[in-house]
Amino acid sequence: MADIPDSIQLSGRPLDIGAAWAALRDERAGAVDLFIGTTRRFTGDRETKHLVYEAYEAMVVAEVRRIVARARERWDILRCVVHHRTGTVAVGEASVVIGVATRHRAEAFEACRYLIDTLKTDVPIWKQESWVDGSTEWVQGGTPG
Amino acid sequence: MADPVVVRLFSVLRERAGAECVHLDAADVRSAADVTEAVFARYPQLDPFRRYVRVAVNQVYADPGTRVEPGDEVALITPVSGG
Repeated sequence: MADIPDSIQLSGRPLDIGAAWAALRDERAGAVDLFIGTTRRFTGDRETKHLVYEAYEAMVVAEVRRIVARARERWDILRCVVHHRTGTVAVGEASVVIGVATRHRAEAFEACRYLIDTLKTDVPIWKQESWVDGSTEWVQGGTPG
Repeated sequence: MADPVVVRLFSVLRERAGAECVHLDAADVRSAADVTEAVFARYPQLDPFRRYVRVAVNQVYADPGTRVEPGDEVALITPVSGG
């Protein structure tokens, strides 16, 4: 049962990694696992100019809360952060930050992995590749991220 | 006149339909499957995506048989690619 609200946000501005870390500080925790998804320059032989993220905002927060609730049933999560960008994200920039604080590190690694893996299959956010050759392409889920 | 059923479209569906929002007469659609049927009938250019679409009703993933009421918000969700 969560006694401290989770920090779940969408943002059209660059993600604040320091703020995510601050939201995970907890004296009960022996471990914090912070995952940052970043915009990669090359996919195969195609070069990315930037990514654009579109979100069904009303459902994203609700769906992330459901996923975090399932994670909390499996692991003893003390604090949790899920911050995702919307709009344009340049190469090398952070698209998503997911963090958990737990008493021991095994749970932190497992819970954090579960959250990002499940976000990538279930949360209604879509990324559009904007390639340097000028073309764009909506990425269909299930393809390597 | 009952409130319409509001269908939200995103990413590739939104681009191909040229619409981010479709209003359906609630009298014509009683289930999530009815909503899907109506949208694909109105926008045949979306047909290649039909087998990949999941439906959400009022921001919760739904089965095809889920009831849809006047004023409900339905979303057609192609395979997501966040993160």
